[in-house]
Amino acid sequence: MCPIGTASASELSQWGTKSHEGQWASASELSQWGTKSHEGQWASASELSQWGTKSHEGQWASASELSQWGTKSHEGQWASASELSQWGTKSHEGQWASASELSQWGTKSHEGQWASASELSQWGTKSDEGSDRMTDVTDVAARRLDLAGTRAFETAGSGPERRLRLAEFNREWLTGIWQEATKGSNVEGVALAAVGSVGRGDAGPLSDYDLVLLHYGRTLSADEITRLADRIWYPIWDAGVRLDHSVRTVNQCRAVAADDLTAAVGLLDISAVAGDAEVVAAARATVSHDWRANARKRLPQLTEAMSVRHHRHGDLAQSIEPELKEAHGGLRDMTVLNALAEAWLADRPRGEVDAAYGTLLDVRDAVHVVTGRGRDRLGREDHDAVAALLGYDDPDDLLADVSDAGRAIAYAIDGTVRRAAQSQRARVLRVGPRRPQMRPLGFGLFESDGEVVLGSGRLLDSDPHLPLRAAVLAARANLPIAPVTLENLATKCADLPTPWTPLARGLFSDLLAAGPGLVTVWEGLDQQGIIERWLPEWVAVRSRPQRNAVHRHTVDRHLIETVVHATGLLRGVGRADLLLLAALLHDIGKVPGAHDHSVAGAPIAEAILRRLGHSDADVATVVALVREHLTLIELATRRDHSDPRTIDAAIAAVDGDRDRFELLVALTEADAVAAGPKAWTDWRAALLNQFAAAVRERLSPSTPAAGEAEPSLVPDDLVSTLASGEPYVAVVPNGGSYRIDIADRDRLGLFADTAGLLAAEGLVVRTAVLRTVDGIAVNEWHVESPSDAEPERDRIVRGLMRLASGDRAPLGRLDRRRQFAGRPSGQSTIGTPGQPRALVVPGASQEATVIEVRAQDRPGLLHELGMAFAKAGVSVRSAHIATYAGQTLDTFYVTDFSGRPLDPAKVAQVVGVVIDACDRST
Amino acid sequence: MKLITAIIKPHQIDAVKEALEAYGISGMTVSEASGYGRQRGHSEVYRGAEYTVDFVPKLRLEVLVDDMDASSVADVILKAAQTGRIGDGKIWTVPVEDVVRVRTGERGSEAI
Repeated sequence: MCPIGTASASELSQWGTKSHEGQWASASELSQWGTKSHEGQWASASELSQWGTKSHEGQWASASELSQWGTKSHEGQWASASELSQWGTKSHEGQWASASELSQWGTKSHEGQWASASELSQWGTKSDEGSDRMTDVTDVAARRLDLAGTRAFETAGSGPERRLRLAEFNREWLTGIWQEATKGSNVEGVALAAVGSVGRGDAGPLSDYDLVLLHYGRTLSADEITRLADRIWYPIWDAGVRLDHSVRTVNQCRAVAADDLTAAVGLLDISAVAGDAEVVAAARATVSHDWRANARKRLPQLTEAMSVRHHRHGDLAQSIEPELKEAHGGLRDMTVLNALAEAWLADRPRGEVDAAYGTLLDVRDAVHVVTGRGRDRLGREDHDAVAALLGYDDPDDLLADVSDAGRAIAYAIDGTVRRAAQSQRARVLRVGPRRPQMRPLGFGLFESDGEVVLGSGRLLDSDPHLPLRAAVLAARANLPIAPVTLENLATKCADLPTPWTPLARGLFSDLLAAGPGLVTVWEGLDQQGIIERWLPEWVAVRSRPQRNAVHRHTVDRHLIETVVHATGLLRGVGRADLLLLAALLHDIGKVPGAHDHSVAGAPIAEAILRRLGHSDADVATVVALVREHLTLIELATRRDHSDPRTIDAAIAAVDGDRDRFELLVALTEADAVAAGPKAWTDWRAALLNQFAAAVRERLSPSTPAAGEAEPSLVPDDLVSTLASGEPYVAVVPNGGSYRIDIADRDRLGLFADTAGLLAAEGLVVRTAVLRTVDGIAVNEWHVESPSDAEPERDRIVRGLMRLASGDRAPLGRLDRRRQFAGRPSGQSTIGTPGQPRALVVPGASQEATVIEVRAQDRPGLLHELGMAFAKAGVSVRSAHIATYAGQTLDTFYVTDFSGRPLDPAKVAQVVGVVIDACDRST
Repeated sequence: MKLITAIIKPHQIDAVKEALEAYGISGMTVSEASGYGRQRGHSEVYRGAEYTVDFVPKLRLEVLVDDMDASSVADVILKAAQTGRIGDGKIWTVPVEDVVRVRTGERGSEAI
């Protein structure tokens, strides 16, 4: 989403408009142009044959360019455009500006309120007082607003009737102007046509007019048609109606549609207003035919333009100040949806989507009436008035309805675009029998046509973890889960047991750590009710608006955004999974009636974490983070850092725990960044960093994440197995994952060999505890099997024996196993963890050197770490391996050959090679 | 009329606000500011890396007052904002030609 004070985009290389902190600069170019500013309030510009751009009171800008045109909206205020060699005028707020063309132009300003312009050989100045014009302005606007019928809004079904009346008025009024303008001329083969909302007949009370003067180029000369256009456009401008206009022959329509996608989509809605209807029908048929013929080629362009627009205006469903037209799920998406259906690329979904479109139109109409402006943004300041007009008792209910409508349209447009792309590929690939292109992702899931789908023969009811697995894979790959697959997962999969299995917990943190791809996947899961089954508490914050100047998203979306931002801060904390859970739950207390959402959220978070089966210590940490998530920023910005009591307060909030403090710092930052640009300024960042540094000085360094694994007795049968020269291996299935116990006589490189062999077998290590007792290594590995095949005990035994004898062949398949690599999705700088770390934990053990490694997990990483230790001649006495949310956090107790801690020089060398191993091939 | 501008430590804002309200000042403008004075910023250690903070976060407070109130209001701010440590900030006063209340169009002292 764009920050406040966004820049509107310019197109091609012709012109540009910049916005600056809500004030504006505009520019036009080509070879000549001029800008005048008057009392710092506006500037107008013209140029040789093109012109463009007025800014007025910091509120809007318009632009034109050579043969393309575009319309940009900006922060609910707007920009319009003119095109070709014609020109345009914008009116705004009952004040107005007009402009002229070709080589003569003029600008007059009057009390900072308006500017008028002249044109080629005929020009006129508008009245100095502006009074007669103003009367017209008030008249047309007032008549349109009056027709909108402020009383009828709350009546169900009043919307279509209102828009019908408006459409009739528009038609009548424009017909009157046409008749006046064409009096006494032969206008055979000439017509006035409307595109956009007026063409579709669903224009709002103050929507722009988007008109085309169509002709065959036969009846009237170029001069005559220009003069006719002037006689039509001027009365419209003078009435204060915003107008986008063009004069075209049918062939020019065709050419413009071929060049400019926005124009093409707009022209599909062209309808006759007055004059020769035949020419409009001809243009409509030609453009529509071309559209169908070329739609396949243009689809990528269309998708690209749409995603740029969505990116700029955000998701309608999750915005506090929804942009009803341009946002993802907004009115314009319906136009695109219809254009795709028109091209026969995909079926058009009906029912719910049409109802949603109607809802948004009603709200748009109400926004026009309430603001008295043709804006399409439901601003915070208008929530109450618009809700009242539409008959809602609570403005939150209005936002919830808008949100639902946005969701329905967004879901429909996304699905339809994917279907359209699939139908396109299907046609291209029609050689031989058609088979779906499936790329395996592991666990019986595949990528097909840009969606994650279930492979055939997958038994849905056998694995309650399947929805989680699908979500993790989809989010990492930044792909949506196919709607059919989602529905199957939602209806056929068994519920997770309470408390959740360790595997489910692990998968859930993997999902949260997936990066930007999480947003789409979470939305899909939520649409299908899967999130609700995992976290019933989520319902209370879903689509919930927040009346707070710093927030730009609904509560649920803010929570997900916070999780995504937190993935960029994982390396700074010990327990990535706890940071992500705290990010997900920190505002879960924002429910109706909650006085202090931090305090209200703590018990809710606790209930969730217990259901997920987290340990008491982990629950305590996350609950404290939820309760204290506003404490640090409050202390940092409002209290004296040099006062010891301020530091005391911060230390008390984390119970004096250094690890918890780092988690809280990271959560504070992720929360603020996710809230919006106002919540995380350099100013606030500097204060928080300064304060955190002051607190760190008082906190003791963190203790190692895990103590040394305690030696346990070695069973006799194990000793006898080992005496026969064979390693002891036992595989125990454990609710979707496997526990593999391995014991062998210790030797240099045993850890590297075992880790490498498991990776080569296609197994993914979740956690492991390694111990060495009396020269025997006793290791307990918890692994997952993406291929669904149960690990084979005998293969592991044979592999270990071959490796012990120096045969490296069992590791040969390691490289090919990297296809299941789990990396966060997306390339954004947000949500990408930083550098790997290896730290020595001083004083943690008398008998060994303790090295803690944090890195992005990947297949074979443990093997490479083990190789690094082995090459440095260091033996691994014991280790705790744990993967939290895609980050590995490993603690190694290492000694030299003689079993003593490493000397300082050796320590430095080992840390170096370990970091190199983590860096390799990432 | 005078414009009094004060650069203060962020955490002193509540004390200054209370003191000004007690004195009878009803309005003020507060903005986030960053800068340095004689102490030239300072060094910080953050996540293991030392770096120099050139611009220290401060708050900028602006109050419009009648000529006769100017020096006492500056004193009120001074007393409330003073901690005696480095970085307490600055206060300065400049003459103001005219003031207009946008809502009513009142001018001069009426508009304060």
